[in-house]
Amino acid sequence: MKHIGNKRRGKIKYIAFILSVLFACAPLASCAGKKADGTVYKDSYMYENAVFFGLHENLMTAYINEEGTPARHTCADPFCTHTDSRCAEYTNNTSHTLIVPNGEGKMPTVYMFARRYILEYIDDDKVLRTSAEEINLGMTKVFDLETGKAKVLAKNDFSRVTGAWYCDGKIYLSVEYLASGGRVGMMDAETGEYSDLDTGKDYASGLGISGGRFYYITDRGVIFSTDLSLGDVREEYDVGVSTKRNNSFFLKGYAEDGMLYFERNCRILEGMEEHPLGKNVMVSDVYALRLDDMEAGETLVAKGAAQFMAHGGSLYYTVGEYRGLGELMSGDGYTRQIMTTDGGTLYRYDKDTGESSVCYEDSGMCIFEMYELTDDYVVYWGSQYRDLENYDIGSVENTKYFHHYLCVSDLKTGEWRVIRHSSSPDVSEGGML
Amino acid sequence: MKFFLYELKKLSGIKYLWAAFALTVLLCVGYVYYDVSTTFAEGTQRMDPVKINAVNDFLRDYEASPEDFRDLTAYYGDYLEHMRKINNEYNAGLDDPGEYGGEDKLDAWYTEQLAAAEKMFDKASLGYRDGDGEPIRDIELMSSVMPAEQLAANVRAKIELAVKTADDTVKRYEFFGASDSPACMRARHVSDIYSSLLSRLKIPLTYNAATGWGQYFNFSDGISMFICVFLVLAAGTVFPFERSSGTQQMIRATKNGRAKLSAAKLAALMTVSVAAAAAISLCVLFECFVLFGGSDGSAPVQLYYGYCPYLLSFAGFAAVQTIVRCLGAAVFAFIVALVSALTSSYTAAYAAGAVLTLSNLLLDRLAAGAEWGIVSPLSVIWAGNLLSRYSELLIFGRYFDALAVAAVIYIFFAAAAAVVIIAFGSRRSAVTARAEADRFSAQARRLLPKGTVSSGRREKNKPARARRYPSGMFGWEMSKLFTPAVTVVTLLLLAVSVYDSFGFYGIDVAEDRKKYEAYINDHVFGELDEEKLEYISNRQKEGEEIIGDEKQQEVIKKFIMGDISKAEFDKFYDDIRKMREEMPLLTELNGHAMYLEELEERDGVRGWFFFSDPVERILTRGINIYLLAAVILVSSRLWVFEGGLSPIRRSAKRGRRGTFSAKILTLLISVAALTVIFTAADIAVGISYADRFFDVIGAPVMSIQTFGTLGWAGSIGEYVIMTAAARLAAYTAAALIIAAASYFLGSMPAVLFCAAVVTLLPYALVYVGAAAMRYFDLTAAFAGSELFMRSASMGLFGSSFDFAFALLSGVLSVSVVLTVLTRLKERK
Repeated sequence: MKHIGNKRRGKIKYIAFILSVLFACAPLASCAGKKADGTVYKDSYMYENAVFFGLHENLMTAYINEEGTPARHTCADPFCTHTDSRCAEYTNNTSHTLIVPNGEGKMPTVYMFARRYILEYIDDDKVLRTSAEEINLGMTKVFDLETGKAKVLAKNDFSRVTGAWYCDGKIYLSVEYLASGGRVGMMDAETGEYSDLDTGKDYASGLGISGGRFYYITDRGVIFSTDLSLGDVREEYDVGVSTKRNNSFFLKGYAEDGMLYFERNCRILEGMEEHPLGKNVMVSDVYALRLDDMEAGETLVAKGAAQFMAHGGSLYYTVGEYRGLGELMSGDGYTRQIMTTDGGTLYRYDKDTGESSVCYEDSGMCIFEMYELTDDYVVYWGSQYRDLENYDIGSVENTKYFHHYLCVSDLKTGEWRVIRHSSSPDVSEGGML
Repeated sequence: MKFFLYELKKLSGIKYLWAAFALTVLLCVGYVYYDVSTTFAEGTQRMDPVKINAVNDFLRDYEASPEDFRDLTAYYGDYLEHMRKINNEYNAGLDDPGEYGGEDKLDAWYTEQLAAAEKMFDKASLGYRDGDGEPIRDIELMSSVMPAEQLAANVRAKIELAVKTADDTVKRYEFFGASDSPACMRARHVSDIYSSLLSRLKIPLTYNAATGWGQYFNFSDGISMFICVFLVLAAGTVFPFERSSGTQQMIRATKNGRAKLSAAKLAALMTVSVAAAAAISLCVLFECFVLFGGSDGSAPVQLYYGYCPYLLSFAGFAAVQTIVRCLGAAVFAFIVALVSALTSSYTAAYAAGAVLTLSNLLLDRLAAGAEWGIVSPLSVIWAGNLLSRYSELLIFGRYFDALAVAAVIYIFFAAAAAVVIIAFGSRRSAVTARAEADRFSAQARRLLPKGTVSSGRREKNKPARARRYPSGMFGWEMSKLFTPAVTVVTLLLLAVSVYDSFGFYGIDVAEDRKKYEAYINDHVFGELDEEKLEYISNRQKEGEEIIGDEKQQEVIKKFIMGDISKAEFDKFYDDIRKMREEMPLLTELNGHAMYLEELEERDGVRGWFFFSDPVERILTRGINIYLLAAVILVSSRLWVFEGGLSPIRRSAKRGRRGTFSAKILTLLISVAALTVIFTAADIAVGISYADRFFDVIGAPVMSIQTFGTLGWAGSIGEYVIMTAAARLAAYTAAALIIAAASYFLGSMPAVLFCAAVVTLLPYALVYVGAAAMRYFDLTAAFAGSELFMRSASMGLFGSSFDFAFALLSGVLSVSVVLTVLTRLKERK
């Protein structure tokens, strides 16, 4: 056999090394399907006319065009029992999800922000693979619906996520720590590596991404922005008040498509002060700022808005209006008060015309909390106030929360469907997505 | 063919392989028997195998023509009705036992009624008999019908559900326009495969609990580990055997000593591997038949493996499983043989075998993901995992049948291994056969230092360096005891021991234990006092009030009337939920408080409130078999390899007492060091999981209820030191005894056998019920804590630890006597 010289052997080794590196990188390259085109994804409930929501510890799917809207498990494994952490959709105390599309004809990737609660059944024994110290901390699980596989992307030091935006392989997060309150930061969508933005002593809450900048508001009511590497921080606007919203340190706001919306003057809806639900129904005045022309100053968009959310740069909102609509005898023998807090009407402020108009009117379902908007639908926690006589509220359990649902309404017609009747507090336990 | 037969004869002529095979078979059989004994000793009645067969025969007859059993069905109905009446009356009596003259009399009446019912319905008209030849009662046979029907229905329902779920998944993905998604394709495959199976599957009525076939499948998982170990030993021997005997280079220099010989070796290895895997499987199958019966071999395997996608009977599945196992075993052996051929080193081959054997664990731990574990060598040799359910693996964004993936991977590896081995074997040595043979022979006898020379070219360019030898006797003995191979194996054992420690301390803590730990440590951690007892009592009262119906109704009413806000109402329900979770913890905590009070009263020891699962695990840690293996490995080599040098050594000036002292000293220091390192590593891993270990180190060990019978007021820290000292004494004694055996027996297999008998036989006998062997069971001393716990339960001479000290003193005395005998023989 002819001897191969050292030099030639070295070349062969070098070529073999390069080939093996390329071979090893091939699967990684094939996974990187999302383009870095600056598109921002923020959906957490709706994808392709289907609603994703948490029920107990599972991520469920329901189709809004289907009669009866039964919820199905999102996990694609036909043998899975969905009862422990080996299931792709299983998480505990999900605080937020983020749905990132993977292109046409492909299923999206879902990032699930939940507690570090890794549970497995071993021979029918419930085994918790999380230490007592870690149980209250957070983790990020990534569930690729295309392949049906999920993995824990990162174990986080924060306990919950209150907002998430995806852009060019990074996830911009608004998080809460058990000890140090709200913060904003950035996570690498591939590696799960996370870093906080240094906001000093101020607590912070994310508002959104627009024009290549990430906006956030502090507990002092000052709006800041930073570039997407979280390097260049600018103070953008001082709202002027630091009044906290109910159950939150922060004022609510949105930044997207060149518009910034924020609120002032949070207050309990007039007429509801003495009502059992009073403290939950807050209204505020919503203002708009054009990000490319901040000097033009703020514009009052909605006075007394009960719920508001930005979509495509425009603002969708309800106006607080309390109306008592009589009483209804329910199955447990108690009399229930029927009412609406917004008249079942949704308004839209158009960013181009600068004018508000009615999206739909008196739908029979008022919006208690808006979760997500798309071009066609709005997903929310609703309360029915019309035709309740036809609704089965026969059992004590049902009547306790009989007017609370996860709903979806058609933005054009106002027709609504119930996605999930939350007759017990399970939905909130399973994950307020 | 001649070469093949020659190599086969050579391989089958290695005595220690036969010993290893016999040991593997014994271990497999023993493992099954031990597991069966312990499982069925815990209250489950194991049914007589003959009776199982008889019941299955009856069920077959019943299913063939149920109308023939119409009278019997009515008779069984009468029996059930009669039993229902008795039970109803008994349950009614429990509400008011006074009517029957108290609960004891009621129970006596109930027992009497049951006995009378048994007599009343004792007809055995069908002629089926159990193992003792006794006829089986009709009601007993009839009572097996309903569970058998239920079982058959459940098997079908399970598969139908999988098909429905798969169909739903396909619809969902089609809804999203993603019908070409890997997950959708997989669901479609699953639906197609199981729909087809359902259309062909017929589930007969069968009594399926613990039959021989089922038990065989159950134990197949465990025995694959033993098969792997045997394969490592066999495959690791094929090539280094010739190097160690100095004939490798000679063979290579001959005409046929190249490719043909390597191919013959591989063929022989494959034959041995397949034969061993098949033989071990058959032995275990036979044992399961003896223990559980095996008449239902024609029943569909879905009665055991509900998701098995193949239309196979139990016997058919076992046959396919055995074929896959044998092929897997052959490939496994090829890969180990490849390493041994390339390195000519036993150590490297054994290390590679260990890595392959543990590959499924490694795959599970590493990023590759648990699903890849299905094609790990261990899993393929088990085969049950691959065949029992349709599995697919995601590769480059597409799902592939796991069985096909395994086939491709294993065929590729087998072929690659064969090609490389044959190519390696065809290299011709440039050094003359005789010179090399002499050289290796001299190296093997330590007359020449071991160099890295393997070819003439390298020898010319880079002559071997002279080896440096330690100057002192102690250093010399130490270098002999810890050769590179032994050091590597010891380090490997240490690594496995640490890995095992992480597994033992780190996981598998039940959810309720975690919650209890957080609760007790947050609320009442520390020494028992009045304040803590008061807290427990008050909190219990508070809890009962919060979750009481009265309070709930009151709050609901207030909410509906508008007296409280929704936020307050929600908070109340949150409180109820939290309290419902807290109450079981409080009940357990209260039980612990009662125990601590009793402890103080009984033993005068003031205990602590704390709970830490890892601390309890540290204190109750069992025998470390890796440390034991390391100690046996080191101590058994102390004298064995002196061989032909003994006469020379004895005639030398320093060859007797000096050598003897150096050897014993080396052994003592080595064993002490091994014990300390292994134990310290284990405890360190335990402490890394026990956050409060140093907080509770001063707490009395009897604060933990497990140690309630210890009768010793020492602290946890003292107990850890005491158990470590017991381990040190036990291992030292064992090492001296094994070393003495190695001196007198002079053969490694004999020494290993002796070591196994001394250390493990009493343990095995204790477990099969020979209680008297507890007095000789050294494994309790190796574990440490087990010795003291056993000693306390025995209370031999009136004190808790008398037996512990007696055992340790006894075994140390024996070891000293044997060492002295060795010395006396050495002087002659």
